[in-house]
Amino acid sequence: MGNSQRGRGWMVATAMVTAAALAVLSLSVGTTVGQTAAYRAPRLPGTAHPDLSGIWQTFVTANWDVQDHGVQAGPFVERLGVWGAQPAGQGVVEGNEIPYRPEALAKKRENFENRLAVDHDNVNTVGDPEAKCYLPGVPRATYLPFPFQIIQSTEKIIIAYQFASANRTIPLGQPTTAPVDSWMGWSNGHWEGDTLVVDVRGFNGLAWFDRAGNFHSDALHVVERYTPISPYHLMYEATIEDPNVFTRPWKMSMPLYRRIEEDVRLLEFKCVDLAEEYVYGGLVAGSGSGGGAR
Amino acid sequence: MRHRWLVTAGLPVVVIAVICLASVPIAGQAPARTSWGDPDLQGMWDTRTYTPFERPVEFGTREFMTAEEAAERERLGLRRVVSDDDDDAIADELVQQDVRRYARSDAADDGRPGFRIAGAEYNAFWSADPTSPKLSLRTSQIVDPPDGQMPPLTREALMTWEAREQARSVRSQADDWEDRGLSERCITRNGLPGEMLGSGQQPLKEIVQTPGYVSIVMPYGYVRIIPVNSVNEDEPAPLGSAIRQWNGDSRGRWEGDTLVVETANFKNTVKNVVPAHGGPFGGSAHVHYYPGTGETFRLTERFTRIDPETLEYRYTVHDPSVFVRPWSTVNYFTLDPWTAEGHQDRLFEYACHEHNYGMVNAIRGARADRQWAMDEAAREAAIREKELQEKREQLTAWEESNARGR
Repeated sequence: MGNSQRGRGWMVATAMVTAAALAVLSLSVGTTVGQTAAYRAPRLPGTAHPDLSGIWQTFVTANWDVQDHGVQAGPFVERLGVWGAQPAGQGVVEGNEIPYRPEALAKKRENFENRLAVDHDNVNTVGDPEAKCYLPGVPRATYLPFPFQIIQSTEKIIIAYQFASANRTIPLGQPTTAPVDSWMGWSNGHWEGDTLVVDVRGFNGLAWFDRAGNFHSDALHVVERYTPISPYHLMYEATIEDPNVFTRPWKMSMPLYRRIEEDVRLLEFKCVDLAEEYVYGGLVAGSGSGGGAR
Repeated sequence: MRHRWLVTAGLPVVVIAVICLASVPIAGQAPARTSWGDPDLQGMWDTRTYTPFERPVEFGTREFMTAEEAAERERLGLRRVVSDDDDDAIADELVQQDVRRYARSDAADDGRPGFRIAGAEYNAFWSADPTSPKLSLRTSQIVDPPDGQMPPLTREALMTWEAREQARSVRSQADDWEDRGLSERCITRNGLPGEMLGSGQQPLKEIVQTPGYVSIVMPYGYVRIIPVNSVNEDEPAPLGSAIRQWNGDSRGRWEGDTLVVETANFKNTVKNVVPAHGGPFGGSAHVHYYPGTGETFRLTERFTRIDPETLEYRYTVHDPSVFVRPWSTVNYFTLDPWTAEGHQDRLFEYACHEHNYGMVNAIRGARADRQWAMDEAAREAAIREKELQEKREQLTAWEESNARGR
């Protein structure tokens, strides 16, 4: 990488710090962000609604654990040193408590124990789906450490996530019901003032919330709220409801930061070929094949 | 190429459709605009085509067939449509198709690899065709070279192909995942530009625009996001050459009402993938060019809404290390009536890799009986060898005709 690239990186870092400071400022003005915020975002031309289009990213460590968490060594510290170590992070869950049913809490702990397990007869029900390059589900797609792009048109909104090329179509018209369950769920959007509200159901129950094993069932119902609070920030809020797993609905929130680098692009992270050795390698162990090493 | 269209031909319907597509943009008719002033290409597009990829020999150098010839092809079953609104009749036909498929898969093995499951791996339901795209009178998708044939592969490409066959020869059908094709591994379908054209299972693409971007929601689990320049804007800097992507890096611009998209920075799949089914570069059997070497592949696409319900789609493949010359195609996408009637408001999630139980089973199968898996691999290799021989002959013929021309 040339000096110009490094220079640009520095500028970006400065911009992020400035943006973060702005966010803190706007957040400290009032705890209730949303329609009461003074900021009025530019409209999508020809519509009465704010234009949320852009490349966005969170800066939280919720993908490790949506709740408060301390520093932990990574899983293969003897090979990787501090690469892969879990940073400490303040949780994104309101009140920090996830109201698990007792049997569900046991399942969460089991998930954590087996988070890097691969079971060839149960490839998509054992272990963290992220490690296998499976679709991340909602809301996890939002706070994976990867950017995503909102493409807003008049009748519908597309959200394309860098991780695994995951994506969602969010029609803004008459809500429809999921014909069949899926990883990313079935989204229906509408506007409440300047807030985009997305109602998501129809999940297959296979996605997780984080690497800590927090999970849900196929009864999951997520209501997301995207509210512009500055030219560079959206406030993101997700209400989680799943009577099979939780005793009551709970909520998480975090700001989304606009990626403002010149010519910034949502790059590809099609990770299947990066995950095959992990997912299928055990099937060929001892065959003398180097698998992906060839 | 095998097609699995529903039977029941309706001649009058076909003739009307033919006439529609023979039309050119209607002079003076302003194309629709988005509320921010760009040409509006949005909608759910049926991207299937019944036009042969290369021109069948009987059409010689003719670019278009007559309506009578189209009707004759229809009669011979080379293109079949549903013209029946009766859901029960369609359901009955799907059942009959399944009966025929399963009868075929139960028949004695004729020695062809995959014979016993070919055609029966999916129920006819998955290829159901409740609507039908319009019929073009074009005799081939390829319009350049003018003979309607894909140009020969270069010597370099043939050598790559041969080297990979050599590497492949000691391997069974599924010693590991890399012995299977990109599509079976859920990495890409046919790659670009092949997967811009629809199939019976995945006919649709949805275009959604926002100021500065055109996005194409692909049915294979990703969105093509194309930044589009306004006329007066500077070209955005291209991605650095170290950034290589399966679907490349696309940049768009408006030329009048036409969206022109240039894509480069494709991944070098030659280095990454042991060929399985089909040609030298992975992908499906009929897509031999995907995606070239990656290093030298440049794709140019042109999208023009020639009438409210038709999007003309042209692409040109430039890949000097794979083809002796560039080549270009024309296709027509039609606005999906099923969507227009409110039956569908989005493409459904693909989630191929997440449920790829077949890969586990293929590897286990090959380990359970490696000799069988080696035999099957040899049969697949024999099919590719035949294809490779044809490509060698094409190149020789091309070189000889060039020598005569000098």
